[in-house]
Amino acid sequence: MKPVTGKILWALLASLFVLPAAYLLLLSFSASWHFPLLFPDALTGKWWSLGFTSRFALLGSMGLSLGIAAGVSLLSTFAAFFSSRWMALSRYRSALLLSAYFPFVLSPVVLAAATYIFFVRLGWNGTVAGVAFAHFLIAYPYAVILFSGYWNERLLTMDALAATLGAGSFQRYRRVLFPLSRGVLALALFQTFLISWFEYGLSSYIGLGRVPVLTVEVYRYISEANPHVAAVASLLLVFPPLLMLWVNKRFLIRLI
Amino acid sequence: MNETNMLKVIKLNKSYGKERVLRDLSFSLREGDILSILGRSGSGKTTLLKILAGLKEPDGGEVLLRGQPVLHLPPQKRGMVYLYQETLLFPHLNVFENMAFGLRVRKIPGSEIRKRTEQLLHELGMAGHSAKMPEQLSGGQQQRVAFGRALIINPSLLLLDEPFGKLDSRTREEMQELFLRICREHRISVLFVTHDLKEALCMGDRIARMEQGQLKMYAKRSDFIRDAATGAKKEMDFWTGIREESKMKNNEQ
Amino acid sequence: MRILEKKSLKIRYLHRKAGLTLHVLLTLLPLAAGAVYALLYSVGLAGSLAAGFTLRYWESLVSRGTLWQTFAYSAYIMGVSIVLSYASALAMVISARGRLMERKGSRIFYLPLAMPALVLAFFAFRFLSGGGWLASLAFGSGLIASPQEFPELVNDPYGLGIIFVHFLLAFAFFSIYLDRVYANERIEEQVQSAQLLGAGYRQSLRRVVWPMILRKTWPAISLYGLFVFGSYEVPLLLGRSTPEMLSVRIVRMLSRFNLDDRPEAFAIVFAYMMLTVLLVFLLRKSKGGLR
Repeated sequence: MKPVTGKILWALLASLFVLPAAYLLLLSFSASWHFPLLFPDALTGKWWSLGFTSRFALLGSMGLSLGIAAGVSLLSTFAAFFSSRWMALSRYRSALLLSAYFPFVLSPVVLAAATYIFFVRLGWNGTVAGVAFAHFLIAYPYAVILFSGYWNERLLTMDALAATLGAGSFQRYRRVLFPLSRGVLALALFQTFLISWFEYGLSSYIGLGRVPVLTVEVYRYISEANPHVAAVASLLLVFPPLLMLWVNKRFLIRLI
Repeated sequence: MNETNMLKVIKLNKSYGKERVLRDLSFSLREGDILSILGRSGSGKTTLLKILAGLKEPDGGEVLLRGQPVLHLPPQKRGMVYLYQETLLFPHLNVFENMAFGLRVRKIPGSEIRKRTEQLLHELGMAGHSAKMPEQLSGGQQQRVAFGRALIINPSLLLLDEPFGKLDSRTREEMQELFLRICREHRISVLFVTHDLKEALCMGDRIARMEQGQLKMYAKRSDFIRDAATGAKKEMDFWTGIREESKMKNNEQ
Repeated sequence: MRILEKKSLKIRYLHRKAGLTLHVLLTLLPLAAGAVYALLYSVGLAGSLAAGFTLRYWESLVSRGTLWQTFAYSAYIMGVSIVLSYASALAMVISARGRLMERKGSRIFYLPLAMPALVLAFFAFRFLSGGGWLASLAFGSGLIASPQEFPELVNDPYGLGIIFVHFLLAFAFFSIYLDRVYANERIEEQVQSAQLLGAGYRQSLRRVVWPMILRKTWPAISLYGLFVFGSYEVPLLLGRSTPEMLSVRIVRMLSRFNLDDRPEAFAIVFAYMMLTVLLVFLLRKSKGGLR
């Protein structure tokens, strides 16, 4: 490919990728922006300040989403870390890993629709606990699949060696396995966080629209034809992953 | 020498599917002795060591350490350290911390850890390397640290699974000499598994051979050499033949 | 072995078993419970309309073609999005010789991955709709005189808006992924070997690069395809009521006032779940499939 063509293509690609965030940023600061205007007629910060008032309560939504995502992330990552280790030592490893793929590939909202009756029976529909548990059901299998490639022969052998040196189970986790696994644990924590943070369909269905996580709020303002507040909420949604991109871009790509 | 049986293995059995790897295997080891176990790949040597260490479960049999049954105990409570061919030093810990690992998990006071670790580092010729990370060490150095890590906790029994297999011949000889000296000084009981004939002969006070899931013990070294199945005589005859051939060629010249 | 020894071993064994059992419960139980409930509901044995075993809901779905239409439309969206994005990403990676991510500014490829599908769909709506930014540009250039003259790019029968969003996401993902595969599999060295053996560049692409990369990446393609197949937020905002993608159709049918729609919706749920299970099994059994 000729250098000039390559440069043009690269510029087009960059524009395509940057465009959504740039557009939404402008939309969130525009007083109004309708057809046929190419740019907003005036800029204002009112949507951002309104967004955090009690009427729109985006700060509360963000806090709720952060809380749920952080909890789901911690629980699913560590549950999967332990269970994937047991799986690696089990002769049914292959079948156990396969069982994690089913909920992983299924559409979350279809899983919600199919299991909704059970949430109702447990009294969890329309509750934060119900939404968080539903998020856990999709984040946990993902984390198991992520860790499945991690438990190699070398690591398991090192664990066994530490046992013969006198380390009990807790000590082996504390002194050997967790320190060695910092990288993959961080990756799993961030990616399961994103699974929960980004989830709309499942949250909306199980939460009955009553659990105001940020994704539900984004959809609410879109359907209420309030694009400016929807843009503010969208940018709040995008903020943590953009931060991750700045820290370590590897955290963003979901390994499959 | 103390005649007490450090280890007694009674009719140990282990199968993988239809394949019977250990078959009513019985033997004993005296305190302070080194038993070399020779055997081909797949003969069950590693399975035996792993069962003794608690890393695998047998199908049947008994194992007594100083007269006490140990099969029900988890690995960390048996006092038997299993050393692999690969050193498996913890990559996140430096040499000092790797060696002190067993003491730290036993919550030994810091001052004693320092004293014992430094002493052993010196004994193993690794005194100037305590702050280094494992990837900064050579193969032989890593093997010394791995060895020291096992020794420092005064194990009842050391289980060595071809520990020098990955070293070059010169380093291997150095490690063999070091190992023998340290084991004798500390009076450690050792099961030393190898597929190398020369190593088996050099390292062990006694020699045994794994065959069809059982351990054939040899009372004397000469018995081992005389047994055609060991291949020792064949090897000796080969080197003797080479020597005679060179002598003849030299005489002709 | 004595009793105490056996008990101690048993405790360790149970501890491990409990952990693995919990894993199976967390992964298979919701799926199994949901599938069973969906099946029972669809044949009149569960739910508020349960009046005894009947196949009429399944017959209705099949005779009206709803089932096939929904699956076919979802498969069409999936196929077009994946083929376009994969082909584009592969072309980029090959032209960059597997060093795409080493280029300055390659971090931009991660930008779409930082945005949830819902937000991208929202952007696509604002950008591509008749009253959107692209239409404003067309108006300003004199190409159209009113928003109605702008071609339908969202809420259209061909799912163009849906395809656009999925293309954007999949293209970014495949670019990063294929670049990594190209480097890890040392494709460039393989191409050079092929050329040393007399193959032309195009021949080495066809006989070496393409088969190697496809073999390595098709589990990822399949899994990503399944995600697109079951996607919800994007078709929710950018699709129309007919044809409808699977997830949206299911949720809409379950939310309607007409209670007769519910058993049919659960029939689609069950069919989709079984299809997913089958595809995962097939993926696993195939060469180079799931680990």
